Amino acid sequence: MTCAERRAALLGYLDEELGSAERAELETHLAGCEACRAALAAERRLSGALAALPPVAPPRDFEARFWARIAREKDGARSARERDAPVGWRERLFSRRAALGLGGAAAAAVALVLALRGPAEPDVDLQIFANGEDFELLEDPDLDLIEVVDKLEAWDGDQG
Amino acid sequence: MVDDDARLMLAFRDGDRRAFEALFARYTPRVLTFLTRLVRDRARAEELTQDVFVRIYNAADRYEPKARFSTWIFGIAHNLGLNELARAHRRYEQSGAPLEELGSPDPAPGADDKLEAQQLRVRLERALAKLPERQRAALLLRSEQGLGYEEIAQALDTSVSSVKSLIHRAREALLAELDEEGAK
Repeated sequence: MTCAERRAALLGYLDEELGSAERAELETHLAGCEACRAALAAERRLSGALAALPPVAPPRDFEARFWARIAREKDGARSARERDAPVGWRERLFSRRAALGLGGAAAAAVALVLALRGPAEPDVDLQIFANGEDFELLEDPDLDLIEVVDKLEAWDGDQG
Repeated sequence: MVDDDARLMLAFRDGDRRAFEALFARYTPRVLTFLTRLVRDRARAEELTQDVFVRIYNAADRYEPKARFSTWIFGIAHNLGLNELARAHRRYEQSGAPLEELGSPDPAPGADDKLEAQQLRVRLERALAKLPERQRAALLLRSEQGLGYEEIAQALDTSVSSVKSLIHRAREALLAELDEEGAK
């Protein structure tokens, strides 16, 4: 084995990755070869210098920035879902009522009624919208929301 | 075998947010250190480190521990780092402007950082910056982050013999560069 080949094994020697025979052979050679001993010392110094490089500390607000970004991405994903989703009865209802100038308590009451009934029963919602009479009822600005609830419950009852 | 960090990730997948926070605390300095030295731009390295954790966070639902957690996270960091370097190279080619002068990642050495050690550090940082990117990544993962050759091979998507060769060439180049600088 040449000195060049042995020098290629020096890192393995420092990392204690050589087999016992290879290690013993290298140590015997190192005892008699000043140039290879110098190369080993240089490798040791380099390993020490690399290990001594200081870690880079994150700034104090790093974690807060991360969670703020996660929150923003979640909001963004929600908005995109809402944008991309087919327009459902709830959206149509709200936009219609908004167009009629109904806001505040009335709109909130509709929201509550529909939120309670909505997601679990999409068929019901679609069918109510398919029913012209009920649809017109929802368009009535003087609509008593309790009456809407009654209508919906009655419809539920009819479906049995 | 599932390592401790992978167990934390599994706990996070199952809804334990504290497990994610523990991983975040454990790996943020390591990933940031690796990326700062890889891309040689502290501000970009911070952004990329955020990107790494966003990916980890978003991948939780699908997480299966196929490798050590450290292999996985440094693999993501390495890919994002190389993409950033490619973008920086394109910007450089398009603009013709000189690349930013990249300083030491931590410009404020500790009080006990003796002059000689500080000078060696500066020379080493400069020599590291001149290494080809994959050599630099392999060397940093081995020397700074303590990953095994097998782990580095997985993170860099290459073979163990290729990793050994990258590290060997990187060290040779560093030794030559330090010798040359020391002789000046």
